[in-house]
Amino acid sequence: MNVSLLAGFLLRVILWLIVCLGVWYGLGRFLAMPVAWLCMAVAQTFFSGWSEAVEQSGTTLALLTNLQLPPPPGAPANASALLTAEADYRVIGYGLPMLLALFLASRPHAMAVKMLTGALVLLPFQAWSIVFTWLKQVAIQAGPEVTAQLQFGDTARNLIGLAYQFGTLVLPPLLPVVLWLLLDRKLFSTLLVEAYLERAEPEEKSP
Amino acid sequence: MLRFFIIFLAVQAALFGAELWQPVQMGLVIPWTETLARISVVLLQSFDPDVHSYGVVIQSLKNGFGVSIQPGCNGVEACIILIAAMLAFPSPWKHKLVGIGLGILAVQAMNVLRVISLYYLGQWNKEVFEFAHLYLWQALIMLDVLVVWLLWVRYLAGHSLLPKFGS
Repeated sequence: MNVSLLAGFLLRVILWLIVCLGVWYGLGRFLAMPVAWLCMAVAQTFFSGWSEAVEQSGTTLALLTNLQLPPPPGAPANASALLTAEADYRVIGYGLPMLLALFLASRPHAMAVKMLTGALVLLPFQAWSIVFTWLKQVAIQAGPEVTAQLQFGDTARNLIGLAYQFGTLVLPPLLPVVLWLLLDRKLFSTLLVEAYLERAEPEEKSP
Repeated sequence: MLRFFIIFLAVQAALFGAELWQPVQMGLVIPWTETLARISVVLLQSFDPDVHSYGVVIQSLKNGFGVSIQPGCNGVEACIILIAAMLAFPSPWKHKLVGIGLGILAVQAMNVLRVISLYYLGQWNKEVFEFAHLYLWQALIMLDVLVVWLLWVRYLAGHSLLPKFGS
């Protein structure tokens, strides 16, 4: 079987991936900004009762809340602390360089438009991953004193856990591949045609 | 195309939900992760005797450095995506099952390479380890899934096993 088309593509993707990851890593704090804005809009819309603000420090996006934490052991009785949930854009954002590497390796028609489209489509999913990382910290990890201040039941906490796992383990690597397959089917079609032709040739030669 | 994506998402959601279910974690995922650690150590010991594993941890006896194989690093999610993609793609069941079996082997072989490389990168440079662990290998494992799936589809096409679309 002639796999040179696929092997060449894979080699180009890996080389472009290394380049794109390096650039993306360096520009991380700028690329995190639109995700932070989206997360802020989500927080203001869905949990305005206990969220105060979203702050960005480098690639770390922090959700400031008005949820009271129990005072640590040994602290004065009147001491109080508020919960802040944090998530790193880079941990869930590597789908962008992956998508760009796939496009740069396959060189589709109107590549720049497809890259921009793909990057924009990734944004709400990256916001999903960040928001559910925050929610996991607030609703599951912060302890009973914090969860008692919220209205999350067991089912809601389980769904938050599931959405967090899906948003951090599956969505970041999967989405760029799905978007690339949707926006550039040239390689996929060529592979199929090549395979059909390879099969047809011996049949044509036989009497 | 729409049918493919609907089945793909449904299978993936079902398998991913099952993966997080406690009995599946205890009976399948954690034992597999421990097996992955043992396989990696057996390979490592062929040229590095100062390494051992306990549970999901691989540790150097020389300097104490260890890596723990956590969810997301055991290749299970990548295998779930591959299984969903093969089940969703219209093809004979026999070829789906063979594709899934060989595909899982290919993904896990790559994952063993990931674990071994991270074990050494971690001892060499913490920053490079973090970069490779959190970003580079995540992408490479998914590329492995994509290439395995494309090779499988190409095989199906080359053996006239794809359905005829349209008239």
